[in-house]
Amino acid sequence: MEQYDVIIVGGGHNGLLAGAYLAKAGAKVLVLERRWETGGAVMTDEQSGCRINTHACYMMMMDRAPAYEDLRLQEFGCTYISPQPAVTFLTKDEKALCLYNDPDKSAASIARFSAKDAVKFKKIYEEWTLLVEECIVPQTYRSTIAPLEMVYLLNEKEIGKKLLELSEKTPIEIINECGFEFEILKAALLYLTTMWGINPDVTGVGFLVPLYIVRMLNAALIRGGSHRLPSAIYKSFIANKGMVEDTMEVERILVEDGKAVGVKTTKGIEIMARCVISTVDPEQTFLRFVGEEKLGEIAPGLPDTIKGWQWEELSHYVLHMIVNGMPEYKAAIFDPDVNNAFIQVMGVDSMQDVADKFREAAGGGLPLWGHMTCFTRFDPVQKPSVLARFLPESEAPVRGLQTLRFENISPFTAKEGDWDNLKDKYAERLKEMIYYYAPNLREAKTIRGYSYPPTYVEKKFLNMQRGSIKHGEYISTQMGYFRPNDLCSRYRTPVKGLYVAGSSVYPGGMVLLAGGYCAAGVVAEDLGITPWWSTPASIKAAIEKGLAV
Amino acid sequence: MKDVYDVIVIGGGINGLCAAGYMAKCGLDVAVFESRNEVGGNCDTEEVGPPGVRYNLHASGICATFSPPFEELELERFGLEMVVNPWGYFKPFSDGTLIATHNSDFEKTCQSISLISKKDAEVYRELARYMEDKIVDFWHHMLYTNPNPQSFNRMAEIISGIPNFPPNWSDMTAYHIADILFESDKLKTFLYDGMIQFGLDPWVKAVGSMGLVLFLFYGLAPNGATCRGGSHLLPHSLYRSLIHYGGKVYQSCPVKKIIVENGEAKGIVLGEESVYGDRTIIATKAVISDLTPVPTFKWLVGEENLPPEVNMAVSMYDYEGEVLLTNYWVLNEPLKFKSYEWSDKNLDPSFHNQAYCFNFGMEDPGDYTRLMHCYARGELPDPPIVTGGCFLFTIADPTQAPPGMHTVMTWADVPYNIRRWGNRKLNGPESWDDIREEYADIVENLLAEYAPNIKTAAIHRYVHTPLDITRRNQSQLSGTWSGGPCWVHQFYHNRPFPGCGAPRTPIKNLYITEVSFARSTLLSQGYCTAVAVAEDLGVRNQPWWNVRAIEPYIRWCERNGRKWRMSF
Repeated sequence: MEQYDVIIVGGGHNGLLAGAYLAKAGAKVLVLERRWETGGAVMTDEQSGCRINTHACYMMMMDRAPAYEDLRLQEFGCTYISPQPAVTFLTKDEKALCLYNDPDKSAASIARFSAKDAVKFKKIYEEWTLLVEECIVPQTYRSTIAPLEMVYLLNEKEIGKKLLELSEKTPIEIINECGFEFEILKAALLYLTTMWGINPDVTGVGFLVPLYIVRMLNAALIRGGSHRLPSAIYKSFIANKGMVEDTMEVERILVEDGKAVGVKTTKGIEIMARCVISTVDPEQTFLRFVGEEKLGEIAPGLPDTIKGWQWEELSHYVLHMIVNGMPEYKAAIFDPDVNNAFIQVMGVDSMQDVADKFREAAGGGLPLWGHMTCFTRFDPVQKPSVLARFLPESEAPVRGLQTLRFENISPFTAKEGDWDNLKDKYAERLKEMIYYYAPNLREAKTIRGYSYPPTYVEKKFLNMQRGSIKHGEYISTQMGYFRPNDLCSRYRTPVKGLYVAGSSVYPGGMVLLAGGYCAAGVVAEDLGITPWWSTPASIKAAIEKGLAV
Repeated sequence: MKDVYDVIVIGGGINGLCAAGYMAKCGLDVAVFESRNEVGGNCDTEEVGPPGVRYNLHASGICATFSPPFEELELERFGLEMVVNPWGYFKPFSDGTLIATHNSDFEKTCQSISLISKKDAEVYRELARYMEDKIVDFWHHMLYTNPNPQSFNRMAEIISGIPNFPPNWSDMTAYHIADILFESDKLKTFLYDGMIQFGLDPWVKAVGSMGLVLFLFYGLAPNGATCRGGSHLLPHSLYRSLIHYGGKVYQSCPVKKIIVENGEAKGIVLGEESVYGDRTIIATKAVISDLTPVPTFKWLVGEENLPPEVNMAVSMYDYEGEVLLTNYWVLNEPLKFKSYEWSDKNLDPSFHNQAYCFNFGMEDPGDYTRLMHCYARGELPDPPIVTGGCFLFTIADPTQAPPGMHTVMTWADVPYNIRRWGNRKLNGPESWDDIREEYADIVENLLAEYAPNIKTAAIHRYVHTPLDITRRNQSQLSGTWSGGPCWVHQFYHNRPFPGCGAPRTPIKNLYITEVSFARSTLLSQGYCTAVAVAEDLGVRNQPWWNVRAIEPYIRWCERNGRKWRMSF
C-alpha cells in the first residue's frame, strides 16, 4: 500500500499551495480532489470561446503573497495585471468617482467634487496603507495568537493601537469618522468593504475596512483567466514530484489512537499517511470525515463548537454575459477613465444606499446594485482573438466578443421564491439598471448569458454551504484566533496528525494564498522537515517591530 | 519559462498532448503552447449549466482504449477510467424497432441484426469470422502507421479478401458495397450513420468503402465507452502523463508565428496577448503543429516561407462538410425511447438502461444524399439530419450529473456557412447566434418523435453551434470538428494535401498532426506524429514503445472480466 508523508484533502488553491511547499521540501504528498479539475473556486469555464471566471476573479494579494515568488508561479504560467483605475463609482446623474492605487490620482478625481475631501483622503489613505502593509498583510502570512496576547503585542505600538481601535468599530462608524463631506466617496469606501459580504454594522472586524479598500485598489486579474493561478501552483507541485488524484472524494479521515493516519475514499480505497491536511470546511472535516463520536472522544466539546459554525448571512449573485460590444459608460463623458476602470460600481449614490441595499439583501430582497468588470478589455486572450485576427472578414462573427461579469451581494434565500426561477428574472432587472449606465449594451447582441446564483455556489462547492463564499461568516467569534475555533486556528487540531488549512481557517477566505502557506510551515515543523523557504523581508520587518508573531 | 526546448508543440489538443507525451517519455525537453485556458481541444467537459452537470461539449464516444498510447503513456495510471456499457450503439426506427450492437457479446449483435434480417445477420457473422485474426494487423496499418504503400497494400489485401466484397471496392462508395452485402435498408442506414459519425462519408468513393469496413469492425464497439467523470478526463490524463515525464505545458499562450529560416523551423513567437507577452522560443530539434493546415501553414509559417505549390494546396483545403450543431439537455428522468418497449421484449430486458450511443431520424439510405445537397447549398436541413452520434452520458456514468439528473446530447449535421432555411435567407455563419435556439427546437421535435419525454423531462438545454466551435478554437475553421472532411484528395497519403508527406511537412523540422484520416479520440494522429519525429530524432527505439493497436483494449477487457466483442 502507498504510504505518503502528507495527504491533502481538497485541491483548491490552499491545498495545492500546502502541497507545493511540502513537496519541494522533500515530503511525499498526495492531493485528493473531488472535482475533475483542481483549483477549487479559482476556476475558469468557457462558453462560445470566451472565458468565464465563474467564481473567484479579483485577486487582492498577488503582489504580496510569498508564494508567488517562492513557487515561481510566473514561470509556471501565472501572470497578472492590476488595471487602473481600480474602481469607478457611477452616479445616477452621470458623474463618476475613480479610485486608483495612486492616491494622487484618486485625490484628483475626488477633488472634482470636494477639494477638502481630496486632501483628507490622501492623508487617510496613506495612514491606512501603512497599517495594511506594515501590519495586516504581514499578519496574514503568519500564525495567529490568542486575543489577549495580540492586544498586549499591538498596544505597545502606535500603529498597533490604531488597528485595535479600528477593529472594535463598525465599517459605517469607521468611514463616518473619516469626516468626508462628499457622499459618493463615503459610499465608495463602504462598498469596497461590503462587496465581499462584510456587514456594514458588524463590530470586531474593522481591520477589514482599510485592508479591503487598500488592497482592492491594487486588485489584480490573472491573465488568461483565474484558473491560471491554481494551474501554476499545480505545476509547481508536480514539478516537485507531488501527486494529485482528482475525481477522488474522501469518505473518512482514518483516525487511530487519536491520530490521523490516512483517508478512505468513497471508492473504498484506503491511503495511509503520516499526516492529513484538510482544506475543506469544519463541518466536513470534523463531523463528516472524522466523525462526531470519534471527535468527541478526542476533544469533548469540539463537535458542538463545530456545529455552531456560522455560514455567511449573504452570498453572491453573478451574471456572466458574452456580448459583441464593449460597454461605453455615459459617465465617460464626465471622466474618460471610467471606461478603463477594472470595476464599475452601479446602483448606489450614498453611504445610506449601500447600507440599505446590504440590509435589503440580508432580509431576502433582491436589490438593484453591484459591480461590473469587462475582462476582455484588459486581457484579450480570454476571448477568441488570437488566431482569429488572421481570419478573413467573412468570419468576423468569431471575433469581437467581450466577456462581462456583473456581481453583487445577494441573499441565499430570496423572499421572492427559489433561485432556479428567479435567477434569469433578476438578470433582466439588473440588465435594465446596467443599460442605464451603459446604454450601448442594450444595442449589443448578447451571445450568452449565464446566471450564477447563490444556490449554484453551494452546489458547485460543498465548502460553501448557503453560498458562503468565504466558507463561513466573518464575525469576531469566527475570525483570527477563533477561525474556525480556538483549538484549530493555528492549523494543528486536537486530532494528532490532522491539520486544517482552508478558507475556514485563519486568516480566512478570498484568494490570499495564505492558509495553505502557513499550514505548510506548521506541518513541516511537525514532520521534522526543514523549510526551504524563508520569510520575506517585509514580514520579517513586521515581526521585528512586534506587529506580527 | 525557458526560451529553448528540444521540441515545441503548438496546440494542446489530444493529439498534441499525445505526441508531446511520447517525446517527454523519450527524455526530450518538450513544451506545449496552448492558446486556450485548458488543454484537450475538442475533448472537453465543462459546467455550462446547472452546477454538477458535466457537459461534454464535443468528443463523446471515447475510443482511446484502442490505441497504443493508452498503455504506453499509462493513461489509466494518470486518472483515465473507461466506462464501457454492455450495449454500444443503437438506432431506433419510427416503426418501434431498433438495431443495436453489443460491446462484449458478439452473438447479441448478430441477434439484434437478425431481428431485422436473418440473412444480413448471417452475412455479418461471416465477415466477422474472416476478420477475427486480421483485425489487429488491419488496425495497426490503417490507423497507427503513417501512410505508406506497404501498409496500404496490406490493408487492401485484407479488404479484398472479405467474403462477398467486390474486387473493385476502391472504386465504389459505401452505398454500392452495402447494397451488395446486405438486404435491409435499416441495417444500411445504421451503418451510414456510424460512418458519418467517424467522419467517413458513405458517398465518397474509396473513403466510403474503407469507412464501411472500418465501421463494421470497429465503430460498433468503442461507442459504448465514456470516461468516468467526463470526456475531459482523457486529455487530463494525457496532460498528467506529459508533465509527470517532465514535459511543460503553457496555457493561454497563443502562438503567432513559426520561425522559419532557410526552409527549416527554428522556433515560435508567442502572441502579444499570451500570458508571457510577445516572446520568442527556440526549438532545437522539432516543432510540431497540432493545428489544422491553414493556421499552420498560411498563418504561422506564412506564405513567404512556403513553395507556391504548398500555398496553392493549402488555399484549396476544405474545412466544411463535417459540421455539427450540439443540443445538450439535462433531464429529470432518463430519456425513454418508444423502441425500448420492443427491445426490452425482443432483445434484452435491460436494454433501456444499458445503451449509451445512438442516432435517429434517418430511415432511408436516400436521406443521406439530402445532407450532401444541404452542405453544397448552405441550406439548413429541415427536418434536421441527426447522424453525428448522440449520447446518453449518465446511462454509462451517473457521476456526470447530480442524483436525479440525466444528460443527453445530440449532434445534428449542418452547414457552417448557412445561406437559407427553407425560404428564409440567412447571412452565413453570423446567423447562428440568431437561429441557435430555433433550430435546436426542431432537433428537439425530431427527437420527440422517437423519445417523447424529451419534451416533458428536460430542465435545461445548452446549444453549441458550429460558430461556437470555431470561437472555441480558431484552428477549427468553418466549424469543423475533424480538421476537415475526408475527400479523396484529403485522405490517407493525401492528407492534409497531396505531397505534404505528413506528419512531416515541406518545412524541415516542422511536423503536423493532421495526418492520414483518423479522427475521433483514437489518438492515432498524435501517435503517428510521435513515430515520425522520434524516428527522425533517433529516439524511437524505446523498450516501452511496442504496443500494437487494439491490444490495449483486449487487455483492458481481460482485466475487467469482459469478453472482447470480436472473440466468438
